[in-house]
Amino acid sequence: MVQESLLFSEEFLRQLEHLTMLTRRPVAGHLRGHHRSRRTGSGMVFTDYRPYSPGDDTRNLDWGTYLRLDRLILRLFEEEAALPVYIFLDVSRSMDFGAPSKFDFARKFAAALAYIGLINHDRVSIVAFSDGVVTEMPARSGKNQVWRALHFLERIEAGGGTSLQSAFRSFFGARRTRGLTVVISDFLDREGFERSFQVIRQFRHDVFAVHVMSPDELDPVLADEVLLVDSEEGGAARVRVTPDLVKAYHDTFLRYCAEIEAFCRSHGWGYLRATTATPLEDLMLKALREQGLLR
Amino acid sequence: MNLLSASPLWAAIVALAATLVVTALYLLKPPPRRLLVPSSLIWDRVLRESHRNRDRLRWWLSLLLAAVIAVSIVVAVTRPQLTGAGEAADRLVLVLDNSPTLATRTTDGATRWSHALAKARARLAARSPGTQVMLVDTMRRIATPGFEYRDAALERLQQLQVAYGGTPRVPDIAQAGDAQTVVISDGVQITGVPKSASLESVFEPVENAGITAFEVRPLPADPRRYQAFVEVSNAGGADRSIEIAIAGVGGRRISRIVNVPAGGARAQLIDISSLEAGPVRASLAMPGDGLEADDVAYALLPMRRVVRVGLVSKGNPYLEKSLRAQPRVQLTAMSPQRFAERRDIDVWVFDRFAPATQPAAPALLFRPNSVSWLPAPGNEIADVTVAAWDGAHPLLENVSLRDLVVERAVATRPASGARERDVVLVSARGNMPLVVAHEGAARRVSFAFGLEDSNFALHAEFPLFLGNALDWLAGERGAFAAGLGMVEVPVAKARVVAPDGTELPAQAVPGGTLFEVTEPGMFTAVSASQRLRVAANLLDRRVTDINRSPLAPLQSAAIEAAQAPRFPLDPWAALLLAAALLLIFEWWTWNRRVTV
Repeated sequence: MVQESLLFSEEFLRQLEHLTMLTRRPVAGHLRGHHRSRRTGSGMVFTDYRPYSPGDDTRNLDWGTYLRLDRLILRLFEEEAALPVYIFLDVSRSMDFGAPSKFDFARKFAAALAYIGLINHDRVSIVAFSDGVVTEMPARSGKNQVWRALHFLERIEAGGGTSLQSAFRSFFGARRTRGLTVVISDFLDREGFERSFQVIRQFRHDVFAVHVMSPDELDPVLADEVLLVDSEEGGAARVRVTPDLVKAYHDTFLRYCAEIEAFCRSHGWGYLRATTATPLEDLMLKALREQGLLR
Repeated sequence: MNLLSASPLWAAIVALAATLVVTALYLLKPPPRRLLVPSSLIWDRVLRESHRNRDRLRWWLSLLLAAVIAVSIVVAVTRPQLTGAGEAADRLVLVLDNSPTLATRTTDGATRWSHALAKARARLAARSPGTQVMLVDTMRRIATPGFEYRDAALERLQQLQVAYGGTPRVPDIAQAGDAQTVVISDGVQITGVPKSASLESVFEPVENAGITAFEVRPLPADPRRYQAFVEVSNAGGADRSIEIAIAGVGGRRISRIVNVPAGGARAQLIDISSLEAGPVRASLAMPGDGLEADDVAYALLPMRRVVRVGLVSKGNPYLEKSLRAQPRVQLTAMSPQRFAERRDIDVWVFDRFAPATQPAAPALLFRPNSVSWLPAPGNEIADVTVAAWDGAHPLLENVSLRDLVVERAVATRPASGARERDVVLVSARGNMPLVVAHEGAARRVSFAFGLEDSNFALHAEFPLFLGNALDWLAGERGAFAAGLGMVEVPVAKARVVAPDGTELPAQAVPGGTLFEVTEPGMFTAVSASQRLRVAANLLDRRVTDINRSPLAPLQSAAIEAAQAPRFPLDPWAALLLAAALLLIFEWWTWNRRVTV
């Protein structure tokens, strides 16, 4: 039985079924799918001609050219491949914050994306990470894999620190087909997000960053004097809260978000700031379409 | 205002304790609430950028503010009597002349008294708070002067006022020792200034005219008519024409203009028979007059009516003729056998007789026989020599007893218990009373001798005496004349009502009532059995002569102003105000999280 928090309404699912995940780069995969690939083969979209070589599929010979030029010319078509989608879900302890918690929100977000990918026969992998890869769902495709994906997501629990870099290194250390990497995280990584993203960049993946945040995180309501305890590291800092300090925190937080967004944009990646107060439907049906992740 | 006036040591201890309490409260603040945050990554950045040391600074600033507020309040409440730096606590005797002439207005619109107060305050303000000050007044309103701290003396100074009655003099202050003595006076009336004292002058020559005598009396020739005797003195440096006005009941007014030479006086007799009976007010008007208190005077114009006299005598032609000669007397003569109490008699005259029971009407008795309601007569004494008589009593007004010869008299003693109400008018050698006036429910005048035993009836003043006696016995007497200041009236346990109808605080004294009068007026002392009008007037030529001072005139107003304390607010009140402002500031900074 899937957790109720991961269940969507029938209407929402119907709307999701009309969506497709997009990637800005041609897909390197070889399994047949609905996305443009670099390979030429038996697709529908004509790309080029080349001289016939023995062993080529004679169904693609351009007979009209042969009659005019008396040469065997082969028509080439863009092969449509399945899109490898890597959904990285941050399950560190920092995600277990807010009401609703960022973790639940992120899981639901990941479930929706996985649903879209699976029904479009993309090869969807879900990677739960904290300070490394915690667990992963191997690449699956097809609508019948939806329940597996949901069961995978419901079994995940929040815990541990955050290390995007080690998670990416660990996952992409094995040979992976280039594809779309969606990172759903709060990006509260002490090692910094730049070095982590550089790892993905090396593997030339198309990246879409979903920055999950809670409204309480952005505008905290604090007493005069508080002892701030880090949920991941356990360190504490005594803070005398002033309006100026709260404003400085707010500004710094937004600046941090802007830095991540700027980094992503500079590399042609997508970025979405998703607060837990925003309805998931709005994000999926509007924001992600505007950002070009979905169509 | 002086709350605690603690010693500096105590104040310091309390201030230190308050500071420690404040600090302890700051240190004992409850621990901050633990708040779990997803990550301290952003907070670390924020705190790194906002200088963490500022928090500590804010804490110290907050503690400092709280400590300053606490110490300010403690110091303002305890009011430590500090000695100025390098200055030993000293002692000062400050003598203020609060005699009546200090009420004189000065050319700047103030009074000599307000200048004296300003000088006194300036003197005290120049001293350190630890100075021991003895405040003394020349009219002895401060009953028991003693050394006190400066601020206490300043407060006592505010309560001091110009006083009337008595002679102003610097009291002999034995306990003052070697303390510095400063006398602030206008020098007009003050006496007894110690040679070692420094004298500060508040004197300023001012034009002044005043009524120095005012009396209403019947014309000797016709007791039905009255005249007012008014004396006006001019204390100024120039001859002045002064208008005297005498106003009676119903607004009737008689005025005269009198030319009074500089430094001189003029008396006027004004026929006031046309005025109705009741209070009479004499006033004068002169532009630039310096002293108000001597510009008015009050007297009472008695009611003029027929007095029904009952003479009970075996036959005394002198007495009967003299009574019949009184202009307002309606005489009824009868023998002792025919005597009976009657309600149509205003005054009884008993000659060698006294009824067994006291008559309801007042009585004049010449050698009465022994009855229970009169003091028991003693032995008969021959060849009595008059030793003394009370010429100030209304009964003996204009009457001289110098040539009185008494052949025989009966020694009488006032009855025990009634001693307070008996006034011996005439006494013989050995303090033997010859004539006694008795105040009571019914007045009486008792002679210890008969008229045929003396030559009194042959005296020219005898009809005057009879007139006085009938007036007094019939209750037609003038007002009780009193000066300003403490007044004692011979009415026991009386209420004293001022001219405006308010009741004055009064104190019962043996045989009378004591109260204070601060301005001229016609007062009324009312007891259960008596009602007495009291005409309180200044009528003192020494007071009216306000320019008779050996002191140098007052300095100019500019110098006076420069000597006045520049900061009128009490320092302790200022400290409290500062604490309140700091408290508001602290609240403001706390709201803006500048302080913690």
